[in-house]
Amino acid sequence: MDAAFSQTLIALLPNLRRFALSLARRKDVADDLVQTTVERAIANAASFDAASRMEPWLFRIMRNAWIDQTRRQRTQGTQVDVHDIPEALPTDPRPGLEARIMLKSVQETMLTLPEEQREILHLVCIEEMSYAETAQTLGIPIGTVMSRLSRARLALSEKMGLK
Amino acid sequence: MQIDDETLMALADGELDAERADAVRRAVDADPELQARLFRFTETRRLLGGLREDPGQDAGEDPLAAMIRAAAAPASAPASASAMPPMPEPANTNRRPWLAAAASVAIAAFAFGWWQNDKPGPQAFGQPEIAALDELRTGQVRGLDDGTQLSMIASFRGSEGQLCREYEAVNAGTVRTVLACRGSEGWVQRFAALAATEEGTFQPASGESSIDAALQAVGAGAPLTPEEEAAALGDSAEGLPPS
Repeated sequence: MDAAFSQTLIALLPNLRRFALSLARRKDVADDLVQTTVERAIANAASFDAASRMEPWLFRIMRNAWIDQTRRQRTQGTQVDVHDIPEALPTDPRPGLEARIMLKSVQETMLTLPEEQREILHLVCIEEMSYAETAQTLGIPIGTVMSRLSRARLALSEKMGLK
Repeated sequence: MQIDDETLMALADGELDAERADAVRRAVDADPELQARLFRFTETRRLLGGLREDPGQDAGEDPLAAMIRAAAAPASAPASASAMPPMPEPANTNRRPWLAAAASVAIAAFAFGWWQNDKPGPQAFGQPEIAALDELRTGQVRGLDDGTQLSMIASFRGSEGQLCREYEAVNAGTVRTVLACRGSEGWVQRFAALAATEEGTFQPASGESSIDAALQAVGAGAPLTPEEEAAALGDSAEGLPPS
């Protein structure tokens, strides 16, 4: 693992935290997920192609870690959702009140969507990954990315009352 | 012009090539219904994009950053890298044939465990082993009285110029790999590992408990040539009682 790798990884920690929160919807679970992802990334640093962007590679690791984690959690019973602990949601004191309310509304609406839609919305619209990168991260064809993303966008817009 | 939702979405996401994007944009400009459908995609993207700007984290460094730097440190610290002598070339071209045979014939049946002796000391050697260390040339095998077959694997010079030798002793289904270095008080064991031929007999392998790590720890250089080894052994043989 070289210095460039670790610098990029550190720079992408906020992205990892965002994606983790989007998947896990609980801050403590998301923190664990980020840590697991970072550990796996370090352990597998040699398999990363330095010529490519690290985001798809990292998000894929995180997603696999999440799948592993949820597989185990299925036997652990119901967990508290992020909606029940509002302070778990990230808040930003900088924008004006209206913008903040809108941001929070988007965030909360997003969290009501099924995981499959949440993750694809997150990768494309928040992390700004291309369809091709998203397909690579999720291990699905681009056509599936487009149909799934389109459904997710329409679901979100409907829930938010966009016309 | 029939334009489906996915195409409108691809336009909103900048995923259409220029020509196609122009065509779709022209169609949208002329059709309020298409404009309304496109809006849902551009607006969801815009709104979600706001979440990207949201730091969601306290100011200050992510605690994981330190962990990442620590993991990168060994590879990126030239000082520590240069302090380590280069790993000696594999010297064991004469590794005893029984291990090779075992590995090729019955890998599945053999579970190797390694055990490292943390208390090196001359007491670890009996007189027959000391004699073998002083007398055997690399590649030679000697049968000891207790039935052990002792094979001399290689000789090295450590970082302080001391003579170090690796040998393997096979007895009762186990192979003992030993690294010994000669100091002012005679031969001192620097490493010993037991390779078991029965599953579960020994602790699982540890990455650090290897002969290579031990060689590196004593600062072993390249294996001695037969001439260099003969000269080194000639010195040590002086003063030995005639056998």
